[in-house]
Amino acid sequence: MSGNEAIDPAAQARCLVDLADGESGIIRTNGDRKSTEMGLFPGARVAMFRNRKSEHSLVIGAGDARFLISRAIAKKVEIE
Amino acid sequence: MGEGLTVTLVGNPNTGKTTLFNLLTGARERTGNWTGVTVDRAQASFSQKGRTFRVTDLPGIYSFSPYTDDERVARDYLIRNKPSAVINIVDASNLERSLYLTAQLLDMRVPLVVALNQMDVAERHGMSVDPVHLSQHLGCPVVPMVASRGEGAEALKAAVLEIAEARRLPAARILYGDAERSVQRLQLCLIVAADDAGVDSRWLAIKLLEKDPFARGLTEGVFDAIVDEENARIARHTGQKPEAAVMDARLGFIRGLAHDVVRRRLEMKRRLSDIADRLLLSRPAGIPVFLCVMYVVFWLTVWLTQPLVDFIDHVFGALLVQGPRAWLQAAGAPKLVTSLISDGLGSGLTTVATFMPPIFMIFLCLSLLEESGYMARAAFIMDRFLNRIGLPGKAFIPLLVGFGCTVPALMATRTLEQRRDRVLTMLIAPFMSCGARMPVYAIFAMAFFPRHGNAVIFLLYLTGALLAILSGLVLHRTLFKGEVSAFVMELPPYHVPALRGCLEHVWYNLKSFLMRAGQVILLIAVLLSLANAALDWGSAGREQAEARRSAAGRAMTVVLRPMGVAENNWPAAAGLLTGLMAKEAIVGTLEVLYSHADGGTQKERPEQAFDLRAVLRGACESLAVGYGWGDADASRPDAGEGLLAAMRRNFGTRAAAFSYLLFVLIYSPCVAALIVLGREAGWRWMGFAVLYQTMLAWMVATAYYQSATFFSAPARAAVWLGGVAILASAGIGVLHLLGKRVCHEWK
Repeated sequence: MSGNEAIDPAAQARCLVDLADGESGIIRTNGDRKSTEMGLFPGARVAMFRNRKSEHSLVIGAGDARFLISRAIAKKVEIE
Repeated sequence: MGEGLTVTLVGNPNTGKTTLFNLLTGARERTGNWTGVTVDRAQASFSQKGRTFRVTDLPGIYSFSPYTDDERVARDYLIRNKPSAVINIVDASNLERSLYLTAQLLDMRVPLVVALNQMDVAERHGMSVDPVHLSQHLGCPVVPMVASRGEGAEALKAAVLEIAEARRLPAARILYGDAERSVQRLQLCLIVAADDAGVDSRWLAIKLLEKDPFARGLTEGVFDAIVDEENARIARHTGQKPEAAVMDARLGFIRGLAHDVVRRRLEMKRRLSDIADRLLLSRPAGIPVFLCVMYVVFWLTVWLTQPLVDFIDHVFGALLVQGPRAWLQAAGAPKLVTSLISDGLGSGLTTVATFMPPIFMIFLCLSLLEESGYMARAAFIMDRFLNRIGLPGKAFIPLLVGFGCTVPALMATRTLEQRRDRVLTMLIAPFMSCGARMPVYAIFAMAFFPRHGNAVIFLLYLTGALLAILSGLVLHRTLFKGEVSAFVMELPPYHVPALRGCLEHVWYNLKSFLMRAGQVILLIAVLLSLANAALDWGSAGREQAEARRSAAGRAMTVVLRPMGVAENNWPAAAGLLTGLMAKEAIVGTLEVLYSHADGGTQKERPEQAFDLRAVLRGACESLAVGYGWGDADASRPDAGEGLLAAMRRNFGTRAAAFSYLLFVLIYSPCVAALIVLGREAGWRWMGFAVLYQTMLAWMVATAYYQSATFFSAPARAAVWLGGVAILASAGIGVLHLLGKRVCHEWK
């Protein structure tokens, strides 16, 4: 498909917080060192298990592990 | 035959590291389902073909970054001790994540053996890992294992023997892409410095590029200029920070490795734990389940253990205090010796022993919650509430422990990464009414609220929790300003707790608590009894000694009068002082001092014949009544009507009694807790806790008493209430001012 040039690249950048329950994606970049070292590194597939606007943390799965992750950190994780 | 060899076990949390340690050594280390089970290093040995291996189990870590204490400790241990072999336990079902630590071990150039554990779990989840291929890539032995079933242990021991004897280093090296040239250039400059420091020069070069303070310390900053130059070069070429470029290259190596050796047949799918989490983390079910769990913990630790505390108090009191006193007096021992052994040593040991039931139960509950995996979920449930007082959800765990005993609660704050969170949690944890205050509440409830005793006790617990929240709000807005720290926490899968493991954990903690707190309590008990004996010695007679004691006591009531402690009720003030040693000591103090002050019949007690059987029978009856199996009238021989009547006489009103209980609930933590607070947070914060809690206790108790008695003396009450309001405002003002001075500590 051509036409990628018509899409604003900034609009394509999604963060981990943008994933809805049940959605999954692959980490493109992670600006948080601790979570990277814990396994949320670029290329890892993550699935969102719980994302509620009213809650400060998200529950995600990466590989076989499950994590509780603050929104502040999840905002630093870019998904493709 | 031959010298002993050393082996160090390193791995991520929840990879079966402690299980492997126990499997290799036959030790009984506790395994768990919660990050940070191995709090300290554990050591044990095993033999293989005549060689003895000393195995050290390091805390579970995700990396060797210098950002957390446990990671720093593990890295420093490896560098300083240079083990003959390092076993890196790797979770086959989470290989990519585990390999981050492996990659760092490759950089460190240690004699490495990889234990590829949980092969069964990987298989179950549709993954297959090729250990031979992985071994070729890493250039070191890789042993597939299922440690929980003992599979692979012998092969691992054989591999460890081979590597340790030859001290063979892994053949693989990670190449750092755009940063590789800088690594090599720096490495050349560091050969001598690395040799002097006893580390690998390449590792040192990588760490310096990553701006690791430990590595910089090893080179004493001598190479700062060249490091800066290389870092600038990396930044120019990659457009990234050098540490990010190094990390990217490391992650690239891991991805490539995982791609080669892992075959995934199934996509990630929801597990049973995920289904349970959908329910237990949801608002409609999660909060009620959480409240039920907390209620059960509360019930077990408070209500179930209280009769046992009384029982131990009676039995140990008889065997270690009353018995020795009677026997020493009969043998004509000097008064000082009698006082030292029975009132000092005996009372101290009795106090320590009475801590055992609540501590045992709270640790058992905590252990069950950890093992089951529920603890991490409780942290999630509480996250949104604790965020309002500036704390992350993880801080809930120490607060929960505080209901058992403040000492382990303070220790449990170690799981929090930020110092600000740790100190704030340590300051509010003592408001969670600990088990030691229960005997005080119980005796006052019997004396003043015989019909509604349980409601009064529950109200006190609730007041403690509310004050913790209020204090958290105030401290968050004054001394502990700042954003709630972000955190990542692994949610372990739910497990059925292994009772044996839980009991071993409980025993370890109980032993550690008894050793730690016991020493302090014993010392203070002995010093107090010596001071008491010295007062008797230095006085012309018993009357003069009593007069001096009561004069000191009366002086103490001066500040307590606005909260309803009358001048003649000086034993209540003295009780608060001994309560600093251990809160339940307040009851014993009141009992002894009221009998002295009232000149009652109990003065004759030392001369009464000591009947061990009668005391033990009384203790058993008290235990039976406590659990609802016996006749209530036959129990509590010591806490009989004499004490209750004296309390009613001396306190006069329910308002004064409840105000005293409020003070007991809020004022300074006991000495054992203060020592731990000083050690964990710093002596400055310990001083702050004593001052803050004691002033708050006085204000709350005074405000309550003056409000409750407002109509009997409106003018006096208004003055005191106004005084409390002014003091509270001034206190908040001081906290604001102090906040400006200490805020830099949290950056």
